[in-house]
Amino acid sequence: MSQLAAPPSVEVSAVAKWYGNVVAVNDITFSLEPGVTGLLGPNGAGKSTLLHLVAGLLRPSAGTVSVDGRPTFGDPAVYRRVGLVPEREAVFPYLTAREFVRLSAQLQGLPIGTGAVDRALGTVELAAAADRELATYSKGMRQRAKVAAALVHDPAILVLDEPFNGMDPRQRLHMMSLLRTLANEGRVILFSSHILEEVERVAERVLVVVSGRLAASGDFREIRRLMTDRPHSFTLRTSDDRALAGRLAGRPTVSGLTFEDGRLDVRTADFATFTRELPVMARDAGVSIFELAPADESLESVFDYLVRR
Amino acid sequence: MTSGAPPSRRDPVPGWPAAAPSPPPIPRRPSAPVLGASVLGPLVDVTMRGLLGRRRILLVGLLALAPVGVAAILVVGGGLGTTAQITRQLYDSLVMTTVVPLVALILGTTAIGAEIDDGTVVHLLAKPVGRGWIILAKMLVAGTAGVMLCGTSILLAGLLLVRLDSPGLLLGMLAGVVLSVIAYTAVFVTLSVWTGRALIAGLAYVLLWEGLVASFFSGTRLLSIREYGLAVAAGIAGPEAGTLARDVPLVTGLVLAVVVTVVAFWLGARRLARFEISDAG
Amino acid sequence: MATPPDLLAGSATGSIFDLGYHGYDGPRLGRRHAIATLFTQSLKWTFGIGRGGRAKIAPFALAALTLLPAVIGVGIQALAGPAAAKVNPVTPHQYLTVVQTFIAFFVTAQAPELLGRDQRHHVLTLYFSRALERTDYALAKYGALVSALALVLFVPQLILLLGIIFASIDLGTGLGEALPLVWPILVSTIVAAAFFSGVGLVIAAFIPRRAFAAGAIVATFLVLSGVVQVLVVQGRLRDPFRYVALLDPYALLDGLATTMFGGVGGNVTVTRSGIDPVVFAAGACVVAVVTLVMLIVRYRRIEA
Repeated sequence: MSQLAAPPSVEVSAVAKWYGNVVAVNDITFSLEPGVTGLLGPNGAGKSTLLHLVAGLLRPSAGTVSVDGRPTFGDPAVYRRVGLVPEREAVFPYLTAREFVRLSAQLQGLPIGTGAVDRALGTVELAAAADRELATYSKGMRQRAKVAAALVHDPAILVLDEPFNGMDPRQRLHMMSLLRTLANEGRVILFSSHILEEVERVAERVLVVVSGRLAASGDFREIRRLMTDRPHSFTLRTSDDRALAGRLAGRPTVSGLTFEDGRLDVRTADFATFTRELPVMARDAGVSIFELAPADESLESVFDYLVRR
Repeated sequence: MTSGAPPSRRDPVPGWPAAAPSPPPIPRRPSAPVLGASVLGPLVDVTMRGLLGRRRILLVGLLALAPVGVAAILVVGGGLGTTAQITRQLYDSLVMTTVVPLVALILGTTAIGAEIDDGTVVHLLAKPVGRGWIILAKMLVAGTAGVMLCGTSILLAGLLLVRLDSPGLLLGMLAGVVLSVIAYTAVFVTLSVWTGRALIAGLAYVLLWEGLVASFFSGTRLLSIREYGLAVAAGIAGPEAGTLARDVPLVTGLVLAVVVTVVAFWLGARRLARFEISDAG
Repeated sequence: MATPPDLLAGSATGSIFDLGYHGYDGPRLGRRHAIATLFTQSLKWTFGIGRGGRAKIAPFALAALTLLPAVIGVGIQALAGPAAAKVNPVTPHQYLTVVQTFIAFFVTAQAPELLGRDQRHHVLTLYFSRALERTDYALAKYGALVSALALVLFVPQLILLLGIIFASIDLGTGLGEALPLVWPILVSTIVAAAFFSGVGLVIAAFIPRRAFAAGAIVATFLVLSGVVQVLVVQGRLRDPFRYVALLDPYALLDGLATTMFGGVGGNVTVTRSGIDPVVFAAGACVVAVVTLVMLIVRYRRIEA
């Protein structure tokens, strides 16, 4: 990757896509940096449409999608830097995996004999089965073949549409660590998923798309913090739950308290004030705090909130 | 504040980017941003594999060789009048009217139509490859296959019927077949890029337009690929053309066929350059 | 209040109710009913009923086109008045030959629709795991297309019959003329529908892709009739090569009509081949039966 003159950039600006009366993507703006970005959203939210727009397979009805400053649609040159793993299972069934990846390499203009094909096949662990026809492959193997074909030209930008579809847990873990490795090399990776655990584990940033609009973007923990109109939940383990609870109950910032099994659950509407007041109250009550953890800072709760808004 | 989320397989060092060393660069041949002729080989290869490697080609072959069967039956079973006359009849009513357009239709619509239909075309389009080269590869494969099938067929049939007595006729028929196959396949390949219903549209063109309209209204004759082929055949056959002779001169037929082919190519390449693939396929 | 759902697991303090699948042990309708249902469904689908607006265009357009000659014929007859009452350009004898192309197109349009989708979307497994046997499936589909086509062809011929009756001097004579035609009309229409449908269905059974199946069916009809025309009309073939004429579907149709109605047929192949029209009629029946058998065999062996 060090032959890149400039780091890759993907800019999406006020992009919209409609089909007649149906608006699939509505005024979305973001830009991608090196690293892994997860595109998240319920089914039918427009994730696939957005990915296809970024990959230059769809023409934006409004706005611009640019890679390295040039619009993606109608410009085949963009594919020198972009690798695409489409969602549809269809591959050429009469080709073997090796031939398929080799075709991809040839269509990328790679000279023969550099070993790029073998390297790509090795990266996805298909080297052993590479000479069987794709028609005989399982869904997960086909997926890996597509990834190998997308990686063969060492793209700076990788766009994957539901890449973990059809993969068993071991393959999924492998793919996740592969994506992280590629991202560490300075690539821009954008992948879509509706499985939150995957996105949580791999992506540094998320883009949450709901009904064609961008509902949130960035680190999901940061997004959580920004969701101030929803009470935060914390779990406390202390030396004396009841004493602390008694003090907390009197505070206006605390909107809910629950005792359970040696744990104290606190709900607060004002995160900032609460975090300032808590240590003071604990000290005044003579209570030691052993653990304070956010109870709803998972991507799932973030997502849930965003989807319901 | 410790995180409540399960430990992720992230970099142990928080913050981004991690200071990992980059791998050695893969040597790349400097070349034009969009690839040209060099991709023709692989494209032709994959199209041939897709088009010819299946059971489908047997059916098409059978269809293309029907005239040979007819000729064989005529030779073996018939007490024929002028064989040249019946050859012309065979050529006009069976070969040029039915077999050639249908063979071209099946080959032309399948060359890219099947890939568009099942979505594998994205693997060709998401590459830095000039769209014209893709169309060219498709037309080349479909056209060549058609020419080989139909050309062989008419040559064999002609040889069976007239042997070498009418070389002009043989040559003329072959030329007509070759020209019209090329023009037809070009048009049908383009048609399959423009619409998903290319086969029906092509059938309508062959059966309705060329079958009815162009036969009845002589003014529209110049808009029928079949006429171009027949004009060339009659022109080359010269005095041996007999009933095949038309008012349309050889040169006109030739030029128009070439024009149609080139225009089809250009339209196909243009459309492919603006081709949109949504997640539905 | 309804009965509470089954208890899946319970104790004094908590219960989980089983709201899931419950088996059905009551009486079931059985194989006959399944076949009848598939038959009626397929019949409806042939006309696009239950499949949305677009699917109705082809069958209804073709049905209208087959109606046209009859309506025009009767119309002319009515307008020309009682003097020229007997002159109907379209007689029941010729009718099937006049609409032969529409018959072919009807089969081309509908046979792939009937068989293609079930194969493409792997629905056959569902069918065959029910009371329906594989043979039943083939029979039901065949029956449905034949019935549909026969229906489309009966209506115009009925109009022609009515035209004959009302064009006569009195009802008695009219009926006397029309009634003897009923049996030929029935037989020729059903056999014609059967052998055309059979050919189309056999082709469609092997080509799941609807557009290709349609193309193949049309190509078959075109090539067969084209080949035979050239051979028979232009050449003077010896026996046994003359019998190639039996490959022409339109010749079979015309021979059938001539056999049932008497008189002279209009199809060139029939006249030029010198073969008795009865042979063609027999050929039509043979094709109808053989294609049905092929269809059954195909569906017995297909992977589902």
